[in-house]
Amino acid sequence: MSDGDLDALIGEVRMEAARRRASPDFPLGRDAELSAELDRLGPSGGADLGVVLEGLDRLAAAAGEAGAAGAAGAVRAAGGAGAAVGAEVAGLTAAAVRALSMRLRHLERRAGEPRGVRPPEAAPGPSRGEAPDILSLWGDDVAAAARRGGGGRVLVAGAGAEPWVQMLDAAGLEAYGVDPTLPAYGDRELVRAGRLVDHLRSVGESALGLAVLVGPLPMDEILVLPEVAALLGRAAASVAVVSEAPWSWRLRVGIPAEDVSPSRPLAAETWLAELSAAGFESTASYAPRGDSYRVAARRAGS
Amino acid sequence: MKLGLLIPRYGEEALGGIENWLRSLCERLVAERGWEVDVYTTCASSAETWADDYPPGSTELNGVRVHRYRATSGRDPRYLHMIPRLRADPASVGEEWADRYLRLVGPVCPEAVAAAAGAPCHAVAVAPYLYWPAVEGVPALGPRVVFHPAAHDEPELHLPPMRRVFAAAGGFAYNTFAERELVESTFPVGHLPSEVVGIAVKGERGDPLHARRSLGLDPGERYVLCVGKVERAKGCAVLADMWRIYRQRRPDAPRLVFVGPVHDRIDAPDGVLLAGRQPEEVKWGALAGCEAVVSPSAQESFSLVVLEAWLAGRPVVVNSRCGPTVEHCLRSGGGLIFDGYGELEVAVDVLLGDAALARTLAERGRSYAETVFAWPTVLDRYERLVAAVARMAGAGRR
Repeated sequence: MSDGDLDALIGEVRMEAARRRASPDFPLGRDAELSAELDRLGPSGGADLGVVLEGLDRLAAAAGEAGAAGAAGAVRAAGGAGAAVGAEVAGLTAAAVRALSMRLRHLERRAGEPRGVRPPEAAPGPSRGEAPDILSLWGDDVAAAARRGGGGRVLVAGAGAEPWVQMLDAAGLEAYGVDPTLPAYGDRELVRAGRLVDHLRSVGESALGLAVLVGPLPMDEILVLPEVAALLGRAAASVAVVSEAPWSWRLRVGIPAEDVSPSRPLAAETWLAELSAAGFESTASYAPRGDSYRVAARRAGS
Repeated sequence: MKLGLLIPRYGEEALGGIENWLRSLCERLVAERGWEVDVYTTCASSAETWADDYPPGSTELNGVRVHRYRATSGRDPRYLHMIPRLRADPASVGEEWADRYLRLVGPVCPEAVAAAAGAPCHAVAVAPYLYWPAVEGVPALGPRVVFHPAAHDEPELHLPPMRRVFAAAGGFAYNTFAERELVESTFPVGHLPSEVVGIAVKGERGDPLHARRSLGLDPGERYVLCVGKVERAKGCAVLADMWRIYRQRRPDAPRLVFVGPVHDRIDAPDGVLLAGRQPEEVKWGALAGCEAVVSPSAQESFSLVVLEAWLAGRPVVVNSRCGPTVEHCLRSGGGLIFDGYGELEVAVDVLLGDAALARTLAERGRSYAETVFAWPTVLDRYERLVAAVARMAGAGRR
């Protein structure tokens, strides 16, 4: 057995368990029964899957009896308790779906990396030249937008969110960050590890005064950009996107690195389109050199 | 800083996990950070009845002012009749049904809630989410609440009133990242200040020889340990069954010893010892003398036992379905994980057969427990959270 990395050790334990399960003297049936019992006792989205399945069995048996009593019996059963049975079936089905979804999430987690999702790289490969200092260029602008943002907290999302949060915190604003490049469980003082899209799903309606998006966007969030924009529209009164311009980034990192990069900056025009579709009124400004931009968006009518 | 605490029971006799933890936390905040802490609670010490064991009125306990109020009702056994429906589909029971259930579980103590709401504190800690004082208290206290939900994925979390309760809090003190993920995937509270504060732990010395005598084990006998309430819901019956299979396949395998109050009768086959509730010094001696600790439960909000095993220098094996214990293992690199009997068999074989690896794992766990959950670190995290909640509540911002 490996004496080093826990991930490797966990993998070896699973492989060895699988090898033993394939052996003819392994108590496969008991193993399955006991695992099923542990599943039943495990997270279930609140509903006890055992109770749900018993309920469905009971209803199925009742339906069977009604059927056996002939058409008249079935009609009586349907007429007498149809609405109640229908409601019970609907309730049990909803509970079963919730419980099974929780199981599926658990299985996905077990099948995935033991330490969780690997963070995307903040910036690809060796680069030529310096990236523009977007914090110096746009920091005051974002702080001013945060002060106008209304009552809620300021969320800063993206690779390198921490200095932005520190800047806003020092300016007396209630700010926190979400950074997809931090390792799982690797929260910093005011910045938590995670993806913007996952975090926005857990944010209350109109709860944020301002959402600030900085740095390159991971590819898995680019693929769900309309959802990100819609979630921003639900959660935030206003949005600021501050980013290096794609042409500057492309020039800096080179084509091979660009092609394989797991994250990249989007064009300001892309944000304008997506935020507009999500109900924001937005404008874009470029820095004098044109190598970075800021998109400012307010919810239409606010 | 002036902190209030609204909690169903408080005192040296109130032996629940969250109650013990918050009492220690309050005492440390007073002694080491110079805070003033006022506790608003009932006269109960037992969660099984919520009966009045303490007199009402104000007293002081280790520097913490404690204000006790009589509950208008305690735990009413009629709640037991409601459990089948609760377990089938808690989200669909309706507000009225849920309100009746929560009142029957108790303790209903409007005076404690009113006193906490009127207290001149910067922030009020409320715990746990499961009982009437939190369900009524969090919405009444609103943005000043530092909520310690102590949540795990159980039916009560999905009752309709809980959405309103969780959304009303000012901030959250979580025990683990897994608890934060569960709460934030259930309620829209991700934007509120929160910290994964955890629970501070400290190892105790234990005498393995004395523990062996107390548990009825031979002086040199090897054994694997499971510590905590012996309940079916905690996976104890499944673990006992798995150990029966293990002993059939490994006739010279050590015994499995359960230390903790036996709440459910479970079939203890040959090779499984139910030692019952034991004094703390016996528990620590048993931890120090065992080969490994198994945690079969899938429903933990923190699991002190896993950290205590590491502090006693012993490796652990945990149920893969339990977010918090798996999190401890992955963060520390110090524990093995089982899905079913197959992985448990391999993990126990490895730990019994490779003492060096067992020591390495336990050492990693100990280092994690001593750094992440040391008192000064935990107090710093808590102080930061309470300051953020108080600041936002003071500014009228949520």
